[in-house]
Amino acid sequence: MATQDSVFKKVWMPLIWLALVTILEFVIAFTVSSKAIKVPVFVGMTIVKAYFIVAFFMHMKYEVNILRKSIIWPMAFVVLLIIILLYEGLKMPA
Amino acid sequence: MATDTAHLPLDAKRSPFKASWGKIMMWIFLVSDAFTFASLLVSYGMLRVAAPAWPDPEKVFDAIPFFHGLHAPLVFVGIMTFILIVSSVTMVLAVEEGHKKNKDGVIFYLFLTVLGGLTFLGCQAWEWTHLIENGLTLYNNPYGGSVLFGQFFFLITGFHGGHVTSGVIINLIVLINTIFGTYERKGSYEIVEKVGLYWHFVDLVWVFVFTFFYLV
Repeated sequence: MATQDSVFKKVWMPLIWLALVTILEFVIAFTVSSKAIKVPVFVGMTIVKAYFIVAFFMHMKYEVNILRKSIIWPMAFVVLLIIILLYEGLKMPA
Repeated sequence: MATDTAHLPLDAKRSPFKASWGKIMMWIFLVSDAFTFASLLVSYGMLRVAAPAWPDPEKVFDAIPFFHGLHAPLVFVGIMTFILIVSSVTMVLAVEEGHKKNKDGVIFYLFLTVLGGLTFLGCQAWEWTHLIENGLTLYNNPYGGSVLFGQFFFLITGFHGGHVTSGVIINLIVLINTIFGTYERKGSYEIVEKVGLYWHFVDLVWVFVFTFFYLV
């Protein structure tokens, strides 16, 4: 169990980040009206939040490299699914 | 080479992952569960971009309990998100106490985690009731746009809520076992880490559900 990092870095720092990003999301939701700007920004912020949850709360950062890769790489299938299905969805007749 | 491995202990001392079997199996399960949620969310995205019209989330999710008729967009779901993130933090603290083999600390933080999960479920039950009373069902959408909105909303938040429910039940079982000293006798609180992984995953899924249903 690699627990060199302090409790602050493992628990409170990610919480502060998650809270900040969520508050910023609310601010953007009420101030920005352009969907073309909002959607990519929200997706980016969601990935930032996902990073903090997986890396710190789920201790992924402290697992060995091969375990991290075994979990992250299969997510490429999800990316592929997003590309294929969104493309098909946009082409679908209304 | 006829090497008999039956006498070897079934722990992870030889694993290239340097983690116990239980944790690796939980990770494998979470990867498969991530695929399930991804399939649901991506199919939602596909049919949403194909739909000619979709309701504006700020007009749908604008109610909070006890303040009937008040237009407060996204406030209630903000509270729900906060509750789930805080219950994730108390879970991390329970795992930390488990590493220190502090039984009382594990009990305290696991109890808070269970409480947070139950509060979240209560919020979700209220939100569903409110939306159903407004006429949002699997075959009706009063907010304008595609009828798929209600179908995907209840399917995906329901599937997530099912995960929260099972998470609360599992946390409760671990909490009861901790109170009875099962893990103290065993000398290891690793089970708290394993159920913790599941609980954080539920929180992770909520982050995506929150973005794609309430914000976008």
